[in-house]
Amino acid sequence: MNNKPTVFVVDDDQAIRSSLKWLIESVAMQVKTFESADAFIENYYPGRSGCLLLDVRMPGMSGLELQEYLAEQRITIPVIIITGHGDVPMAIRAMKAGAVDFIEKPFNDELLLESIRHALLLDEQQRDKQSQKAEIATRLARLTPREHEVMAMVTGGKANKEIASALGVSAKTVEAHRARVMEKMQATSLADLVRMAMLANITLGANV
Amino acid sequence: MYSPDSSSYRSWIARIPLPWISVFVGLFCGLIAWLIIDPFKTRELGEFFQDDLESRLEIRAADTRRRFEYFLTDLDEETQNLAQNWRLVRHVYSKKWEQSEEKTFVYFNQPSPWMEQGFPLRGSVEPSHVLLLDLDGNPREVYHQQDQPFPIDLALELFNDQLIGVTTTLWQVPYFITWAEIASGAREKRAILMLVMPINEKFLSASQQYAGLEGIVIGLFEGDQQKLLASSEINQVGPASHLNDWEEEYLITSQALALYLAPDNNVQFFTFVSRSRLAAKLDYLLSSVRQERFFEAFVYVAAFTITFFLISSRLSHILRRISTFSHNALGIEQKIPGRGNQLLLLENRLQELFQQVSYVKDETKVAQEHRLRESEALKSALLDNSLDPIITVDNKGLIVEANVTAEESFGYPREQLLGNPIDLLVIHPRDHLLIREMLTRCREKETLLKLCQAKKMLSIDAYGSEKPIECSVMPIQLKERTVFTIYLRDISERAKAEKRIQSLAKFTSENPSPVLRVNNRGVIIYANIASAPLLEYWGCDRGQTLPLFWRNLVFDAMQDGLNREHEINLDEQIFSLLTVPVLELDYANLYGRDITQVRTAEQQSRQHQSELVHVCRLSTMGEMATGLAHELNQPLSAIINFASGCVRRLQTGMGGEAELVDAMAQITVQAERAGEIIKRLRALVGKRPQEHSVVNLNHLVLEVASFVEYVAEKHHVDITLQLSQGPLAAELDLVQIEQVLLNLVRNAIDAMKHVEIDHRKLELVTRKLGEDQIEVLVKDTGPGIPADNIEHLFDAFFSTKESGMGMGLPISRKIIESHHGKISATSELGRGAEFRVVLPSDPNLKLAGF
Repeated sequence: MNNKPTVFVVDDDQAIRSSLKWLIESVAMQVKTFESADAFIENYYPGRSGCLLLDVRMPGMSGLELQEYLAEQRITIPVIIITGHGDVPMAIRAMKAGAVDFIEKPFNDELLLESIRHALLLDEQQRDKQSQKAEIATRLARLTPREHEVMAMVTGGKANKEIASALGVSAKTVEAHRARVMEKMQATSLADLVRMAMLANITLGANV
Repeated sequence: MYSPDSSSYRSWIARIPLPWISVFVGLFCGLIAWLIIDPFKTRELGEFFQDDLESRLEIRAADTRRRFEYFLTDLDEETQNLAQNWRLVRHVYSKKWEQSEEKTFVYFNQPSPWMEQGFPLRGSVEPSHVLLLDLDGNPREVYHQQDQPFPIDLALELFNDQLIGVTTTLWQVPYFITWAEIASGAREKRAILMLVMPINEKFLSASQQYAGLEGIVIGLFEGDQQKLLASSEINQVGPASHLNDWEEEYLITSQALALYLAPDNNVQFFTFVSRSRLAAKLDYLLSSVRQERFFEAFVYVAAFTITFFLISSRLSHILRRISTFSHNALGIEQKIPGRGNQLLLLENRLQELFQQVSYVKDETKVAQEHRLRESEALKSALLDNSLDPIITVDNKGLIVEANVTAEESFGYPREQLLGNPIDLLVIHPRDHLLIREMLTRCREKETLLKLCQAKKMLSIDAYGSEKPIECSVMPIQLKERTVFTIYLRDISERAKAEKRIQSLAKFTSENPSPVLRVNNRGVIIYANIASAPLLEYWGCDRGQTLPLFWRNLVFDAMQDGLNREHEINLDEQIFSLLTVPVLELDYANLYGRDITQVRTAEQQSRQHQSELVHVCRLSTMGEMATGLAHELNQPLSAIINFASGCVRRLQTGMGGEAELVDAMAQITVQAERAGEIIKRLRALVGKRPQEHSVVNLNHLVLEVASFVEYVAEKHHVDITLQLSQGPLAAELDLVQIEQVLLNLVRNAIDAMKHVEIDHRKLELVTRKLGEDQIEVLVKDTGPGIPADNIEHLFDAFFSTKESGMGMGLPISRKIIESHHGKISATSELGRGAEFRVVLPSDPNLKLAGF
C-alpha cells in the first residue's frame, strides 16, 4: 500500500459513492468507497492515513454508530459527516463525537474538497504528533528514574539548586543529570525539552 | 630391492655372455677339483710306489748277493780249470817237492812262471796270492803281489778242513780263497793250486758285471761289529766305517752269505741304495703319473666345459628370444642389449615384469582400497548425514551401529547407544512390543531381505521427550549373522504437514458451500458435507453419476475448458454451481454457492421497490415529504458531484473523453432517477380512483404484520396476532386500507420507543362485529395518549413526533370514512393506546381463491 492519504467514503447509495469518487478523484486524491459501515470496518487497516466521509443514515450500522466504534477502537481517522437531513441534533451529536465537519447534501464541491483537505492536514498532524510522541516515549524510556525525576523538575521550572536540595544531592550532580537528560532526549534547548515533556504528558513538577 | 653395489655387480655380470660364464665356471670347478684331489692322489700313489720300490729293492739286493755268490762259484770253477793248465802241470811235474823237506819257496812280486800273462780269470780279477801246495797241503811255492805273505797256516788249515772257496778276513780285508788239484789226465795228482783274491772294489764290481750296479753300492761287513770291510764304491762308502753311519744316506739291506764262508767269520753281504736316488726315482714316477692324470683331467674338464658352453649358448639364444618376447609384451621402449648374460637379462626382464605386476597389483590394491575407503567414506557420510536416525541392531536387538543423526536426535553419546537394546533406549514403552514384533517378523522373513513395512511409533530420547517416528527394518545378511538396519524417520514434521494438509483439506470439507469433484465420466468422486442438500436433490451419492443435465454440463465444460455457472433451485435453497474443469487431471470441480439469501434479498429488494411505491401510496403526506426529500437529495447530490467532477477535470485537462462521457451518462441516470421520484410523488399526490375488491381482512392484517416485522424486531416490539376464526371478507380498496393499518402499526411502534424493551407489545386483533361489520384493533403498550390530545388526533397537522408532519391519522380517517367505516382511539395513560377500525362487511361476499 502506498502512503498516499486515502479518502474513505461510506454511503449506502451507489450513485453517491461513485459520484463522490468521481469528484474527489478530479483533484487527484485517492478514493476508496464502501457501501456500509461494516464493509468499511472489515476492510480498513488502522494506521492508514486519510479521512472518512460518512453518511449518517444507512441501513445497518449508522454513521454515528461507526463513529462511536472508531472512538472505541482508538482509531483517530478524521471523520466528515454527510447527511441528507440537515437536522441539528444529529449534527451536534456527530460533532460531539469528534467529527471534523458536517456537510449537507447536496454539497458544494468547493466546500466539500476544502473540508477534505482540512481533514487530511489534521490527520497528518495527528500522525506526526503520534510519531513524535512515540519517539519521545522511546527516548524517555532510556532515562534512569533519577534522570526522569530531574527532567520532570527541570521542565517544571525548577532551578538546579532547588532540584539539588529536593533530591538531596549536590548541584554539580544535578547539572550532570541534566546534561545527560538533554543528551538522551536529544533536546537542543530547555524549551525543546519542555515541548517534549508537554507532548509526552509528563506531569510537570508533579513531585515538588 | 637391490643395493647399488650389487646391482652394479649384477650389471657387470650381465655384460658377460652366458657361454663364457659357463666356460669360466667349468674351468674354475676343474681347478678346484684338481687342487682338492691332486695332493690326496699323489700321497696315495707315493705310498704305493714306495712300497713297490722297496720290495723291488729287496729283490734286487737278493739278486746282487746271488750274483756275488755265482761269481764266487765261477771263480772256483775257473780255478779248477786253471789247475789243468798244461804249463802248470809241467811246472809241477818238473818239481820234486817230496824230496826236499819242508821247503817253501816264496816269490814276491814275481809272476808265476806258468802264468806269465796273468790269470785269465773272470772280470780280470787278479789273485793277490797264488799258492802251490803239495798233496799234504804244505805250501811249496807262494807268489804274491802284496806286502804281506799269505799265512801258511791258514792255507794248511783250509786244506785240512777241505774247505773250498772261502771268504775270510785277513789284515782287515776280506779275501776269497779257492784251490784246485793239479792233475794231468790220468797222471797222479801232484799238487794243489790255491788262489787268494782280495774282495775289493774291482772284485765286487766284477761280481755284478752283467747286471750293473746303477747307483747301488754293495759290499761286505763284519756281522758282529757292523763294520764295513769292502764296498764297490770306495769313494762313496769307505771301508772301516760303521754300518749305522750310512743309514741316513742309504737304504741298507744286509744278507748273510750262505756259502763260502769261513767258520770263524761272520761276514755279511750288504746292499746300499742311495735314498736320494730312490726319492728322485719316486719323484720321477709320481710326476709321470701326475702328468698323465693332469692330462686326463684336462680332457674331462675341457669336454664338459665345451658341452656346457654349447648348451649355454643355445640356452642363451632361447633366453634372448624369451627376453625379446617379454620385452615386446611388456612394451618396454628401452632397447634390450643383444649381448651379455641372457639369463640375468631375462631375470631383469622378469624382475621388471614382477615389479610391474606387483606395482600394478599395488596400484590396483591401492586404487581398490582407495575406492573402498572412498565408498566407505561416502557411505558413512551418507549414513552420518542422513537426516534420519539409522541404527543397526543384532539378532537380540542390541545396537551395534548408529549414525550421528541417531546420536544427536536421541541425545545419547555413541558409547551409550552401542550394546544396549534399541527398544529400551529409544522407543517409547508403548511401542516396545511393536518393534520386537517387527524384528521377529523380519527375522523369519530374512531370506526375502526385504524392507519390512514401515510402522509408525513413538520414540523417546534421553531427555524423555517423545516424537512420532516411522520405523522400518531392513535385515542384512552378513557372513555369520543377520543384523537389522532400522530407519527411524522423524515424522513429526510430516505429521504436522499431514495435519496441515488435512486442515487444508478441511477447507473443502468444512466449507459451508457445496464443493464437489466429478470425473470425466460424470461420477462424483468427492463431495463435501455441505453438498448433502444437492446430493439429496439429485438423488445420487458419492461414487455415482450426476443427473444427465449436469453430466452434460460437466462434459461441455471439459470440452471447451471454460467455467460454467448455473443455478439450481432446491425447494428451500437456491445454489449457484460453478463448474471449473481441471483438464490436466481430467476432472471438474463444482463449487456451489448458496444464493438463497441473495435471491431473497433481490426478491426483497424488488419487493422493497414495489413496497416503496406501496409505502409512498400508503404513507401520509408528511412522511412522504420527508422521504421524498431524502430520496431526491440522493440523485441531486450525485448529479452535482458528477457535474463538479466533470468541470474540474475539464478545467485541469485531466480525464479521458470516455471517462467524461461515462460521468455524463451517470448524470443523466441520476436525473432520470430524480424524475422517477417526482413521477411517483405525482402519482401519489394525484387523485386515484378507489379500486374495490373483495379481501379477507385477516390476510390483510397478516401482510401488514409481516411487512413491519423487520422494523418491529429492530425496535424489540413483540407482535401478537389474534385473528378471527374463518375469513373476514370485505369489499374495500386494498391499498388504502393497508395504508391505514400500516400507519396505525407504525405509530404504535413509534410510540413504544421509550418504553422498556420487555414491555413493548403490539397486538393485532380481528373479529366480526355482528353480521355486517368487522373490526381491527391495534393495541400498544406505549405511554398512551393524554385525553387532551385524543380529541385532536385525527386533525390535520397534529403531530407529537419530531419528524412527523401530522398528516397520517387524518388521511386514515378520510380513507376509512370513504369505506363507510369508523376509526377511533382509546388510551389509558401510561398503559398504552388502542386504535379501532370498524369496516362494513357482507357475509355473502365470495373471497377470491377460497
